[in-house]
Amino acid sequence: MNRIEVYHQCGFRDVWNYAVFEEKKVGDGFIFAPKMASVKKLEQFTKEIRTKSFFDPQFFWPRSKEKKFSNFDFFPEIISEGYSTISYEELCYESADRCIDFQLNQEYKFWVIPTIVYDETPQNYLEILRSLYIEPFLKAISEKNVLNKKVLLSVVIKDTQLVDEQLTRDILNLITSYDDIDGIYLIPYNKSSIKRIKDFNFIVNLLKFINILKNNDMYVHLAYTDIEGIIFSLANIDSVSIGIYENMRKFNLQNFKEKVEEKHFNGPNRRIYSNKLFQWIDFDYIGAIKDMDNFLELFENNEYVSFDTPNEDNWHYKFPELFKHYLVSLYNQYKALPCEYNERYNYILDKLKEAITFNKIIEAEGILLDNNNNGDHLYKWVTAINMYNKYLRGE
Amino acid sequence: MFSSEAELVEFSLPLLIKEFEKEGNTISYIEEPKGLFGIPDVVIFNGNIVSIEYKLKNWKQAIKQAYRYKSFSYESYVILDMEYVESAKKNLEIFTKFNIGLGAVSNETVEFFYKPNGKKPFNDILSERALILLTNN
Repeated sequence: MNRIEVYHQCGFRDVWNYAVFEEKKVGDGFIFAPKMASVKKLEQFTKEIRTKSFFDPQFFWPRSKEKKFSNFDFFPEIISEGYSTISYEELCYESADRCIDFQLNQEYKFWVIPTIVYDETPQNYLEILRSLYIEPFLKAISEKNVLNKKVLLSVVIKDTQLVDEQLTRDILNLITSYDDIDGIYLIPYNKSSIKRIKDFNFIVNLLKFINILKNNDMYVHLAYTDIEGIIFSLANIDSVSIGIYENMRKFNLQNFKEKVEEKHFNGPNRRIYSNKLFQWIDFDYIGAIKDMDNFLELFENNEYVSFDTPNEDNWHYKFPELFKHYLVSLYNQYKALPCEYNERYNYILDKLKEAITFNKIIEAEGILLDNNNNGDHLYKWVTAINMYNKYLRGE
Repeated sequence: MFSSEAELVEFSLPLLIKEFEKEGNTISYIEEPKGLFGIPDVVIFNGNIVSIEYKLKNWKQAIKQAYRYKSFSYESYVILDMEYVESAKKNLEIFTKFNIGLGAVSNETVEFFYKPNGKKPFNDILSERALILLTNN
């Protein structure tokens, strides 16, 4: 199996990503994107950084009027001055050419072909992907005559699509039908509002999906993911994203649409990541668990561990410690994964069982955590990886 | 049997207030205060902070919500519709384990099946905030 590379999924306050990258050597590169910065800002990164990083064009909602996309003249809404499938048909090759030129000029590590996502996926979805995105981009890439740079196709896979065997097969057939596509920039899209993925069918189906890609010698980067990336490492992903805010750790199409009106946003609760529990723990529970004997054991003791983040308005813009603590902690978890399948499987299984034991200790102390803080997901994860393990053995 | 949680609250609140009144203390309360840990249906002050989570029947959800209120409350209760309290009563050891009170309301009365041991809230800042909310109400 591969030693997993870890890329920072950049977005708002990505200066904290750079800080842990520079100061703590956390991360193997960055994933830049229009929503994080202007062209000018992206061009300011050193060549050393750019060549370790890649660019997600974020065409997910191509008709988006979100201001940040207007900086990029290849974005479908911008180039077509009002996106529709028909208007973009005439400009998709031009859009692809400009986007690939940008990626080439920035000397990014991979080429990334963008994708489109619908709220309700149309019948001719794969045909739209093929004609408006894949083929124009492959043509643009082939015209640059650049060798030895992997071509990654963005694929957003919804929970509802993964249970449709025919559609999953069609998507896999489409992906593997192009010799020039070397890998997938894979984005799981699970619409559940709970913090941890508890749908073990989704987990198993995604593991199988990745496994098929790997069996076809594809490079797989798992994007917009959180702690679940540890579980998906069992399918031998090559690289994975880590991100600061939840919108960088969980894909949501709504985040790419223009905001109709300013919603009052309270900001996230203060939460600290526990590598031992495979869970973020709400700060308001800390008072209940802090007297436990093994309290400090629950959180990686890296230099950012902190229980002092004040509960101020916009704390999440001002105090990076909880986010940096998470980035370092999860990065270390990825890097500690064994590189042989059975060893990795047993290692993860042991860690999940250990987390279940820790949760039992917490409960035995008379502490009742809610569904976004407790260990309910761990049983689902254990079931999922056992099911996947049996699938691999042909049982 | 109540048709909604709102009806349950409206009917039982005077009974609850009476239940939690202590001699010599002025009682005050607020409904659905925001800015704490979760949103309790009622927070009562009778010298100590007492929080209430009402549910018609889903005690499993209610007990997790009620536990959060222990961050700022001396006592925290789940109050159900008497019609649906049997399932919760059969699991009274869970209420005991997490020290959450259990009560139920009929058309005539409120009855308690477990009264928790009063305990210092586990978050001083939230506790102070709850007191401010009660004072400003």
